[in-house]
Amino acid sequence: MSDPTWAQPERNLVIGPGLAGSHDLITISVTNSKCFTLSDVHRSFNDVFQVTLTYLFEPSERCLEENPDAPDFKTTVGPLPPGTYQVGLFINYGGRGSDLADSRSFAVIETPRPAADLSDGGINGLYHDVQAPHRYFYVLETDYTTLVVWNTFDSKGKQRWIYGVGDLLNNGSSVVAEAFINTSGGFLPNGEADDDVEPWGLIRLDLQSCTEGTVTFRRNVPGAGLGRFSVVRLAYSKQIGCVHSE
Amino acid sequence: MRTKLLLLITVACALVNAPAWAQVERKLVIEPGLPSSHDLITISVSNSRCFANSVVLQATEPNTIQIRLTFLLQYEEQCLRDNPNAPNFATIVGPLAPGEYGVTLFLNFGGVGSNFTDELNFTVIQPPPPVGLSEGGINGLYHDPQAPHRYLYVLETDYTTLVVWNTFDPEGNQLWVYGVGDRLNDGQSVVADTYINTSGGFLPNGEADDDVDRWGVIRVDMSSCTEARVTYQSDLPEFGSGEFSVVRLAYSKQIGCVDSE
Repeated sequence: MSDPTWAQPERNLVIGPGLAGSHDLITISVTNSKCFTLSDVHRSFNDVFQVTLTYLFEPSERCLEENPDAPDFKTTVGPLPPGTYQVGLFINYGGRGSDLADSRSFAVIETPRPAADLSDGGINGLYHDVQAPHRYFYVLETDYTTLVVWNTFDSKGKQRWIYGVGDLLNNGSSVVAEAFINTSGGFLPNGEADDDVEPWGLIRLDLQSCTEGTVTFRRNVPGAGLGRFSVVRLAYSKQIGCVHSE
Repeated sequence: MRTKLLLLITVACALVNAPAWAQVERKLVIEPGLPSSHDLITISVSNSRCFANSVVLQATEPNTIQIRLTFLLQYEEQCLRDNPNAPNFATIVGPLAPGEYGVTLFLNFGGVGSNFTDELNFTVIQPPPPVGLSEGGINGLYHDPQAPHRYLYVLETDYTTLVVWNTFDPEGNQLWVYGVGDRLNDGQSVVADTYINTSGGFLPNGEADDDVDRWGVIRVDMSSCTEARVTYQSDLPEFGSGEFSVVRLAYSKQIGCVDSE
């Protein structure tokens, strides 16, 4: 007899955001985890979280039939002080005890206190570096994710543009994006561009108000530390604006 | 009268001696206030930091969510001492289909069973319809299908409209040019005087040693919410002039865009 549907897939922990700050809510989710019957989140020590998902045959099977688009398990913890944390995932199939399915660790970095609430899209707009006012930072919240674009220069003074997509945090006042850099080999004989896309690192923007923020970044190179600079707003989105409510 | 007074004193003493977790009211909080079917919905519980266990049931009945929090005296007291800024319980559900939903909260104080504590209903709405090009629908991100890793974005601000083109120069080096301009054709086109910034690095005082030079003109003509033609004329001979088609990659979530019939 084959295993029931809920017992077949591999389930792994996913922890976000990638560059978690000390004011963030941290999301812990589990892949292939829709239609669990019970979830139990336990903080056993200061720096250890234990997630237990229970699948009971009848409710899980019925749920899978009736709700094929049911969401995966997701919970939030934090804000947490800077440090390193561990998460363990235990899966329990119908009261037969919980087995360790996955474990992950994540780090929390010190970040500035975010704006109280920019949840109506106030983060959208154009910013520039206070010390380097001709280098720009652009944010666009889309239907599914949030785009950040950093137009700047490399250490030799050549133009660079780096972009990323990520999630909003802290009531819409922060965004953490996985960033990429594109390079070009020109055009192919058929007229299409011969471009490459390479992972660049992580970029994070924390707004302390509608007008001021801090950008933190870490490149995907061994030994790279954190870079950080302050930004001020250059322009609002006309249709959205920004209200900073306490 | 004396009996009533004694009862009052007894109740008052019991409250004073009761553990911290028994003295506070715990309520469900749903955010955002009027969620749409695109939103993740956060359900939190006030005064719920330092719970020992949380159980969230979503699958038992359609459109109902049950939250059970357990507070254990010793655990909570130590946690409150060690973590005065411990967060309240919060979980995320959704996105959910439009409709009515109910959340119930049960609290368990150390193995004496779970008591029903709070109930909250919320409605998930359809998001408002998007606007047309003339009301800001032009905002967003576009790319050339022939060169899909080069991007153009448009941001309408309070005073003008910003156009940024992130592309490459003829030698394959990254290039970004930007301009601000006015909207034409009932908001469906924008023509921007465009600039290119160059950098000489940083001055000894830490400030950037950057230059701003005029690059030329960029014009964007939208033929629909999803398609446009970009025309440019550079003052710099290495860039010359040209035109290309773009398609939309992303809308502004808050603005959107819908084509008129």
